[in-house]
Amino acid sequence: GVVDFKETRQKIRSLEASLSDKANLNNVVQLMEFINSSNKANAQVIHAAMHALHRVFSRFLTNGDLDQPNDPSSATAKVTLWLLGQFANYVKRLRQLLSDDEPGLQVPALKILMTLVKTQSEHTNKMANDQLQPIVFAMVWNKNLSAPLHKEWMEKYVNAYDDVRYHFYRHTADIMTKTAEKNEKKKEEIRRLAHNVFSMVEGITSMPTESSELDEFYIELPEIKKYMALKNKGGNGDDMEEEDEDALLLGDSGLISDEEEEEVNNKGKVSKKKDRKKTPVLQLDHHKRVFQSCWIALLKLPLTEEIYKKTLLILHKRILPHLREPRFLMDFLTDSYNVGGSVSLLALNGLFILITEYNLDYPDFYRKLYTLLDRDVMHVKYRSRFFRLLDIFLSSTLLPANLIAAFIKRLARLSLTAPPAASVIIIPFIYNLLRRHPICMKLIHKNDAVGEKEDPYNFDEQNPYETKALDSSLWELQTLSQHYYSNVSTLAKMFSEKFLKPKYNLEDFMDHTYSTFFKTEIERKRKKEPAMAFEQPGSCEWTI
Amino acid sequence: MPATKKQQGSGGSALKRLRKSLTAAGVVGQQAKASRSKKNRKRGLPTEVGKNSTSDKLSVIRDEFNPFEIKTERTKFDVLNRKVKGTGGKPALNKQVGEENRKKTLLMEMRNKGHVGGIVDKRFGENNPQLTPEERMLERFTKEKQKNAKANMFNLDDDDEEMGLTHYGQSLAEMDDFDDTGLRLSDDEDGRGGQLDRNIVSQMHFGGFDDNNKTDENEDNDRPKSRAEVMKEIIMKSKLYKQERQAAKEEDETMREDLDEDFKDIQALLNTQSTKRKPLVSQSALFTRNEAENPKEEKEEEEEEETNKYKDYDIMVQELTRDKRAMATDRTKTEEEIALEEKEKLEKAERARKRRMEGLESESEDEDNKRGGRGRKRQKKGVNAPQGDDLEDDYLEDLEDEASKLGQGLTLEDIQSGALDEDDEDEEDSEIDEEDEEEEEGSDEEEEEEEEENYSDLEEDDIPEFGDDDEDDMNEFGTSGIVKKASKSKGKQSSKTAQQNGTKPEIPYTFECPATHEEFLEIMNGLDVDDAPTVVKRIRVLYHPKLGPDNKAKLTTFLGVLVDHLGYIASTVTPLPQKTLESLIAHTFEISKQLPTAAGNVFVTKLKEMHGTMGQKMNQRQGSTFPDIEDITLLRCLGKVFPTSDLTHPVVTPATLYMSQALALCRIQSEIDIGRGLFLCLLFHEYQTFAKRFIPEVLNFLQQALIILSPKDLFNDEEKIPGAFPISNNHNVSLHIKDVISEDTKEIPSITLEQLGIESVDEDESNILRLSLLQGVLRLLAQYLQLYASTPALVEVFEPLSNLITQMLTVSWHKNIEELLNKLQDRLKKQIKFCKDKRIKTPLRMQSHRPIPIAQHLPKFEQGYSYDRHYDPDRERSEYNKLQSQIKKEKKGAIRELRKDNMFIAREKVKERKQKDAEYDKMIKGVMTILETDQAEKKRQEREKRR
Repeated sequence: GVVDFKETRQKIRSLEASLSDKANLNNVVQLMEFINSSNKANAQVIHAAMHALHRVFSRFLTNGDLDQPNDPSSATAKVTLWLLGQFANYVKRLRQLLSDDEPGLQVPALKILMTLVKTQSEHTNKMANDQLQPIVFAMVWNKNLSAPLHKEWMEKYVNAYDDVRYHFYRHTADIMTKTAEKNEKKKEEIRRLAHNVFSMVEGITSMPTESSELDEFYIELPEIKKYMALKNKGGNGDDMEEEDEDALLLGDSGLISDEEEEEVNNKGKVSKKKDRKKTPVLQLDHHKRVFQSCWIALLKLPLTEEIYKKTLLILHKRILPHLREPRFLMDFLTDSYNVGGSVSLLALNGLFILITEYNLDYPDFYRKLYTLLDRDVMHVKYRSRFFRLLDIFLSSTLLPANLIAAFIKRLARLSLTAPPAASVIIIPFIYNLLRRHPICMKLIHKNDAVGEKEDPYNFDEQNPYETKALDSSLWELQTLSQHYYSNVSTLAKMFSEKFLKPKYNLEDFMDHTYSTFFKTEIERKRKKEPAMAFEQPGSCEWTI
Repeated sequence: MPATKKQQGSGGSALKRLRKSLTAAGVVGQQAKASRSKKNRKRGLPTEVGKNSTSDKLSVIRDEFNPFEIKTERTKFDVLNRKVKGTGGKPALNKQVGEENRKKTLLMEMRNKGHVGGIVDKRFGENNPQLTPEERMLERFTKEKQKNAKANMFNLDDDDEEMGLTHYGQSLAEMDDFDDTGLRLSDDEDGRGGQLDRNIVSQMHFGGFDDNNKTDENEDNDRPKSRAEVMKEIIMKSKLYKQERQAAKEEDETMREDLDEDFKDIQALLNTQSTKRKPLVSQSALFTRNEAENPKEEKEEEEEEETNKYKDYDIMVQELTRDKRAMATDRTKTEEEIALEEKEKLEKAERARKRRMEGLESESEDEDNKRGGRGRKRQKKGVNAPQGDDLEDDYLEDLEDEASKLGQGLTLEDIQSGALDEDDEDEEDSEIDEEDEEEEEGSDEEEEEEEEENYSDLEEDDIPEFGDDDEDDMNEFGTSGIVKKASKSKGKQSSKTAQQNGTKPEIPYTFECPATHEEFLEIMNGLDVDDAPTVVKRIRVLYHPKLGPDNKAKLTTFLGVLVDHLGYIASTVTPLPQKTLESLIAHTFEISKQLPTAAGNVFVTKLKEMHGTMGQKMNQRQGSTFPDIEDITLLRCLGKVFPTSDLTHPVVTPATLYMSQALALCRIQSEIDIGRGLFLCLLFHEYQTFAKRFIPEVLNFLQQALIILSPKDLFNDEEKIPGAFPISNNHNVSLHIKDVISEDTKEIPSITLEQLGIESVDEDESNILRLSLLQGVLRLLAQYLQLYASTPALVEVFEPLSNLITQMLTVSWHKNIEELLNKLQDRLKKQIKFCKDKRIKTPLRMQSHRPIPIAQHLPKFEQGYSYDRHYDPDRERSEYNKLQSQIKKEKKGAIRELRKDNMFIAREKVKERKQKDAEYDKMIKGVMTILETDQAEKKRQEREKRR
């Protein structure tokens, strides 16, 4: 095998060398044969041929041998057309290789494809979208989206360059809307598409928030070069925008005719009009637009629960700020919030942003929030996140006391079945609420001579205003002060002490788990030797 | 300076003052010489500066009297006790000092500016203009000395020479009394003569002490008498006194010897003092012997003889002092006292436990240690002074003394008879008797277990036995003879062990202390599982920490091995050898008690391992994630070894966290999982017997198990399941009981630990297993209900359970289960009702302390308020302000200095330029004069020519 490969490689090399002479153009076909061979055995051969052909074609590209001929009938034109055909085949094969099951071929194929896009675009001074679109297409429909390929694609291209990201969003949105419209594909394929797209868009971290952040371009078209030069000269983007505004205020550019405008441009003056005419890659607004269309198209696809939850998880930080029109997500979020369970918990964050920043009015919000406190909420992974939000929602001192009491009582009740990590949040949380709403102090201290026999609090009542929690007592806290974990019990004991501390910083109690507790306990420095039992061990129970 | 001025200012006009200070300085007047006397110098008059030459003195006085050199600022209002800075000063002087300093530093720098190269002198103080050459040399010398001194710090020989005064190489410090050295300063020499005599004597006898001479000389110098006269006088007097003294000495010698004779008679009366002080004779003898130890110092022969004379006596004295004195021993205790002591010990331990349970530092823990230490000491003392009833201890002592022999000395016979076993187990243990008594009283069953029980004989330092029937013990002390009982029980045991040996393969008697579990398994190879306790016991005997210095380390590793073996037995041997396990646990307990830190480490590492594997299993999502039999056994052992009632405990707290994590997070996949969980709940119950702490995970798990095990259609609607415990979504496994009534099984068997070793359960057995699991759940729930009977939120905790059971009772069950359910329901109802009734009487009052006072915002009254001080209550802000003002001050100072520097530089430059100009002018002038003279000469010659 090894000998064979060496021979073949030699052959490929000689073929490549011979191609420097235009007379031997037919050797391309031979090279194409190598690359088209079945990949199982000779991945190395394909690899070698791929690179050889890349060198050959990029030389042709830069020499202009692949330009569309002006006169289609001439002999050279025929050669060129034939060559173009070969090139198209080559590129197609490369795109096939993207979904090869050998990552060693996928990654170089992607590299070559992207380099070709670059050479072609720079040769023609135009973004080679006809090349890039199929690449994106191949990527999002990829059956074997291997980790190295994904990493390469994200790190080297989509995340690194503003223009690649822009076009990626644009094409992906296109592909997804078309798929959704046509409704031809099988469910599994659509699920794969959604999965691929999500894994990619999830990994995009370089989405700009300021137009000055648009500063990395893969293909430096003349316009972009000009923009970059200007930007470097101007110091930063903000200054430039100010200049733009000044120009707008000073001269009524709307009156200037196109010819004049060109003159103006030639003179080097920058005007808002020109800004508008600027290629979309340079405009933040367009970036946002494609981002939004991509996400909305994605959310229209049937998503698995995992992707759904992950989307909600990143929604408030990574999606909402970049949307052009965040209101578009209102329905999505309210629907998610109504689902119940952990999905509701996750949707709460996005909903919060919409409510606070975009004026969303959600009827019966607190009622819904109250029902979120179900038997599982203390045991889910996102409980810290939920408590952070709950703290914000209940932070107002203007909320009615019976509502707050209902929340307190419900939390206390849940703490009886909660793990220590949750109890550790609940206790200071209740403390803070009691401090904020002194009326609720009667929950822990009744001045009546006689207590109630039956607890007035109705645990099963869904409406927090009607639970009668304010007449109840927090016996649960006393039981919590007998909790087996000393951190919980000492915290719980503070309710029988004077309320001197103005507020507990909840952040200190968040994000604990059994494992973190275990770790801190077991790694605690032991100063003296451990206390020993003094009772002689007796016999044990071996049956239940 | 202002102070002196004021002082002088009080004395009239300026002229008078001037005269006064002039006379004081000794510039004018007759007392010029006398004023230099010591007294005046001490008083500081005149000022020290001007004592050298008259001109200096005058300049100082002039400065003091020049009003233009002193700057005074008038204060508008005089405030008592207020000190304002900068009211007075000497600007000229300050300026001059600054100028001079600049000349030394800045000017040098200026001149050296632009100069490159040269040699940098790095010797100490070379570049410091403040030091005179002498000071510089002195500094260098001391530096060098210090350097050497550091190297010699630990040289003892040097120390001797430098640190102490010696005479003839003999340290003077050792001669606390000069009686025997020949330097006699008798009491009868008194007055001035006596004083002088001391001088003379010291001169004559300590001829080498130059310092004394020097001071004398200095003093002599001042005397009007000439030196020669003085010396003559001294010599004469000294000769005279020498003669007198020699005579007196002889007289004294005889008198003292007489006294010594007499002294012996009254010595007894003066007992207190004389015992502390060594007899004089021997003292001198010691002294000489001390000298003899230094071979360099040759002793005179007669002294040598004296030494020999007292040598025997001295040796004896030495031996006697080194001998341990007979100490007062404790009286033999009566039975009641022993019992009382035991009781107190227990009570103390219980108190400590309670304190720890409340999370307080157990005050008695230290005390415990101390007590233990004392106890041990007492026992050691006991070695020297055996008590009356320590019959066997004498024998033991020998054994212990010859510890090294014990290893081989342990013969077959000894062990078979059981005597040695017991004897060297308990060492100096007097409690053996008690223990034996207990055994005696125990039932036959206990006798059977005697082999296992023996562990408790080992090392009963201070922590007593806590048998089931200890109370009876206390009551029945003293009913019969101890010794007799001991022997009796021994006899029994020996016969029993003999029996054992007859039937079983022989167990070796000596082993290497196994360092790994493999080694231990090698030892156990061929032996029965039940022999493990015997082997462990023998190892413990052989490697008892008191029998060898490295035994402690060996036992530490062995403890790890033992714990490993516990898990090993539990997980491999079926049926579960419960008795063996229990006795091994007891052995672990005993060793741990000897090595608490090691035990802590062993169990902590075990816990870490267990926690790690559980995490891994959870991530892999396959197989049972619950702690297996091995883990459960180890956790059980842990609960026996460490006090589980402590609020926080370095081992128990992580263990409980681990267990609760397992109960809360492990997915229930099979009956086995439920069973293991149930055993964890059982362990938790054992752990919390005393403290009764609340464990939500246990109740959650038990109720979940109820749901999971109940028939499928009983709890169909998840929404309607009462309670707030989480419902884990184990939809993939169905563990519902299919045949609820199962008429063919008469009694539902209890769940045993060894049932849970397997990974999967046969289909046909599963129903019974599930039924017994349900039975276990219900039993545990009943136990927990009892445990939490007094918890304040009993209603909230158990009411859902009550509803759950009501729902369960809608179906007919197997009679055992039915019975359990009914019983549980009854108790639940009763207790919930009881709790509710209690609430009527005592509503929740957690804030029943005095109300918190409203915060006051009145300004705080400061006593002795001063305007100049800052009373910022905000510490940080005041610190910040302080630093700010410091910065400001420093900045100002720096700016001023820089300005002055610049002015100085400018001045210097001007000076330099002027100098250059002057030189140039001079040069030009010179040239001009030459030229002029030349010209003049020339003109003169021309004129002459013309003529």
